[in-house]
Amino acid sequence: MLERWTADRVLALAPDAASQKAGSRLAAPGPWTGLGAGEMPPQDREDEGGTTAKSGVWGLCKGSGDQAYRTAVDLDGPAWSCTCPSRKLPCKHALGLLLLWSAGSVPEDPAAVPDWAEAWLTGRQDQAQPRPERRPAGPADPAAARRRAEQRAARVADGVDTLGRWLADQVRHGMAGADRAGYPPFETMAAKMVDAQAKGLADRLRTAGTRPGSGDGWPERLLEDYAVLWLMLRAHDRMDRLDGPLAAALRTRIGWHVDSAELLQRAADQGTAVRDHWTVLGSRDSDEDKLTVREIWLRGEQSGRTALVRAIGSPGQAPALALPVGERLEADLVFHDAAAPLRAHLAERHGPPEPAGEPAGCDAESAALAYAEALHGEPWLDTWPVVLADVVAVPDALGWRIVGIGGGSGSEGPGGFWLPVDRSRAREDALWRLAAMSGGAGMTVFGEYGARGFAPVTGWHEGRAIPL
Amino acid sequence: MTADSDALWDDLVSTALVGTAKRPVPGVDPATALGAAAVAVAREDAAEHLLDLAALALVHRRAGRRPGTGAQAPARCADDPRPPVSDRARGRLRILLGSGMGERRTAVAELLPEWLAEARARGCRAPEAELPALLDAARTHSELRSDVAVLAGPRGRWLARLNPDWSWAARIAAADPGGADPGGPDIWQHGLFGERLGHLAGLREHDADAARHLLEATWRSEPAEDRAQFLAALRTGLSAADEEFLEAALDDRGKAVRAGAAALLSALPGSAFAARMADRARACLRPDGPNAVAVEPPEVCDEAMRRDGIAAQSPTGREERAWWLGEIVAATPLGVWTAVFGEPPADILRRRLPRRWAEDVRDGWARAAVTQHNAEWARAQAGRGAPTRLLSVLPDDERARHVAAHVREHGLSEAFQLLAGCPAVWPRPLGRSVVDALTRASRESAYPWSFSGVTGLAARSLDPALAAEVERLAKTSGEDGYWGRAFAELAATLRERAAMRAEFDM
Repeated sequence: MLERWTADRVLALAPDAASQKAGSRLAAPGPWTGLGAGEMPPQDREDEGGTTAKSGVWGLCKGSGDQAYRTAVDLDGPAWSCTCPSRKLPCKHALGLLLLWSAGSVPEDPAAVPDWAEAWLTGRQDQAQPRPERRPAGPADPAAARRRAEQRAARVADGVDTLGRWLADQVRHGMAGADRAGYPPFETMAAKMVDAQAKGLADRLRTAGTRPGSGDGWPERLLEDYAVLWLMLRAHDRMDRLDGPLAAALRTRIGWHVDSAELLQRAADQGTAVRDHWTVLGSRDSDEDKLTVREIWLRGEQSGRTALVRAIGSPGQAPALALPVGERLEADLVFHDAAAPLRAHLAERHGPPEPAGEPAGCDAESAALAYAEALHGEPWLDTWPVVLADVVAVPDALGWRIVGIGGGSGSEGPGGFWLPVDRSRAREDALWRLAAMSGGAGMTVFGEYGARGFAPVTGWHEGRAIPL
Repeated sequence: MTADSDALWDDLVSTALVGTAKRPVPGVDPATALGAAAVAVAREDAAEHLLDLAALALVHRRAGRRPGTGAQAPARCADDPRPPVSDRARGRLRILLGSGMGERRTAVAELLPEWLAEARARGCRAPEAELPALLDAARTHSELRSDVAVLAGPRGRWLARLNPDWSWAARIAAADPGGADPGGPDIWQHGLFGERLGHLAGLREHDADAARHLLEATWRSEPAEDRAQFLAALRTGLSAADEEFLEAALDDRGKAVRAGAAALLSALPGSAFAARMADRARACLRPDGPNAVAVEPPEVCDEAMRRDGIAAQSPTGREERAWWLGEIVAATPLGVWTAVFGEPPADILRRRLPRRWAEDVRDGWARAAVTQHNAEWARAQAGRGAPTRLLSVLPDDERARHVAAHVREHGLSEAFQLLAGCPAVWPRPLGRSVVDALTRASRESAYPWSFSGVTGLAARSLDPALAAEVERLAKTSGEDGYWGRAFAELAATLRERAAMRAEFDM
């Protein structure tokens, strides 16, 4: 028996809201024929000692033309295949098929798998097999690689120099000028940083460029951005004297890419992957240069560590990685080198996600402390992920607040601790959803806490994780 | 702990704003931790020195920031003992509301009303996380309010009090049994207008007299536009006991208040107002032999008429005497006519009217039937080319029968308004006649786009059990033609609705 997914889990795979709608419209038996699901038995192979079992769902969906689309989903990937012309991944047919299956409307009969579906699924099986031991031979030409790395370092150093002088000029002649000059100078400087291969600095500059038009208190926000940039520039100056993890974190922050293959290889060699039962605390999609960036936060049951895994989806496509919020999975995680380690790669999974309980949370004081400790590691961090226990979201005259309910009840005593809400990261409707779920009673909320306050990502209500 | 860095930070911001070329960089006490760190990174250049200090102060402040204290926890909302909807139904609602992926909500999904009705019929509570989106949707689409308010229950009322956008929910809250407004008289004395109106309307449901007394007590101190709205709330539970108050309101300073009072009084057949209108009406209309009506409209609009809400001039420019006539007929208790003519409404309506006044008289009767909720008069006028709003007075089944007959006889070209006024799921005979009429239209190769409004309504309102039949129609009309595609689309929506209903049981 296959373990059926929840509809929520299926819908979380959709690349956008329109696909959710179109997919649920196809989640009725009408247009479908030849529906089936099942576990493909492992295939015996002499060379690789057999493969593991694979589960799939398949069906034919009537489209607008004469021929029906062939739709199949590999549940282990998950991965999809459909003969429709849509460029969206997964397409509405794959979503409709999964919704039908999750509703129990697809018969389980592995023997009846049609040839085309079997061919695709077993083709996938081969891919899913670990490749034969791939010992990276290292760069083809170590000398050339070293030269390239040195060239890049020099370019970044030039960029850092240019930006440092520019920042000093800004405060020498007064930030009031930034208000008059508007966005263009920031964009010019950001473009220079992109040329210098320092994308992290460019991103921060673009953010800074939006401050002068951002209303009351903009000088303070602009100086904060300048101060963070300055901090990174000065740290860069002394890169060779920084601790390894701090230097690595700074390099990523400035714009060096982490080579994931190298990272995974190193973790395999040194055994530094962290195997644990990871609870999926939250998942958030945002648009970045037309790409969809998905951030998934995990917390290890034994290790107690919090991890952030990122996945990118090209335009019109959902990021390949989707994990069900509120469930847990056993997996190996490989953390990036950092003074406050958070970013990680999902290496190997050991089994499918399964239901998990509410994560343990902390109070507002501990959240502030967690951020302070993260700053101790990397002083340029804007936020740090935290799970708050027993809080409610409260709208009041001064804006939204996250108020702790625990401890002293009633109006006696010092009253509850509270955190401001970071309105640049928290959408109004997410806050109202949170307030509605709480009904004034304390609940567990996961989110990011940082310089501008708390931004909720997930709320637990009646034992269920609700993405906000 | 962060007081030092806060003061320093403010100094740094104002210096950076003006520029270090014009203002010296603030000094830091080297005895403090922050000062000691500052000394270690001291630089010659003033601008660089400011940035160093700003970086230090920033991290110092960020790391040292502590949570606020003394926040009042909000009151908890009352428990809602009703069961939740199934997970599948919850997922569907989230899609219908389009709230999953940060999409702006604009149009209401066409299946949302049916989802709400189904959940309400099953006695479920709305999924808590979707309450804000539901309250928003019902704010702009008032036809959803009744279902949303009931589904939202005590939690919805609790939430609505936190957001002025949702004051409508507090207003109709008391329509829900057990939803007595805990604000009580306090709300009436100190609440915002929306809260007060909600309180009044709620109280009116339970205890009409108490609500009127409440309003009377503060009546003189209310601004005119509020008075008009409060007065309109009295339509609920309207009775002869309200007459004295309404009669006095006819002399109000506010024009809207006077007009509102006259409109309410015209729905009270036993009132002095009704008697005055009846006197005027009897002077206007009388039998002219057994088959006709003699009409004699008033010559002037005197002060007494104006006091009773008849405007001296028609807002649309209708000839004065005809306008006054229509207003009088519309405000006259319909019982007056059965007495004057000594026959039932159907016979009165069969009488000939002088052409010059016929339209005004018939329109007046139709309006009277609607305001006085007189089904007998509405029935007698329905189907005679009378305005469709007349049908709103009839019970659902009867209204649907009328519309079905109309569609069978005249097809769909004029039926949109009529169909839109029918209950959400069309009874069998009505659905039957609409499907038949669409079939006829497709066979006659009628211009399909003139039916798009009706097919849209049909997708929402037809019994999903007709899906198979509509699918057959799609096949026989040729799947590539417009009609074929329209039927296929219709069938897909019906299938989706059937699936949506089934999800409540999963």
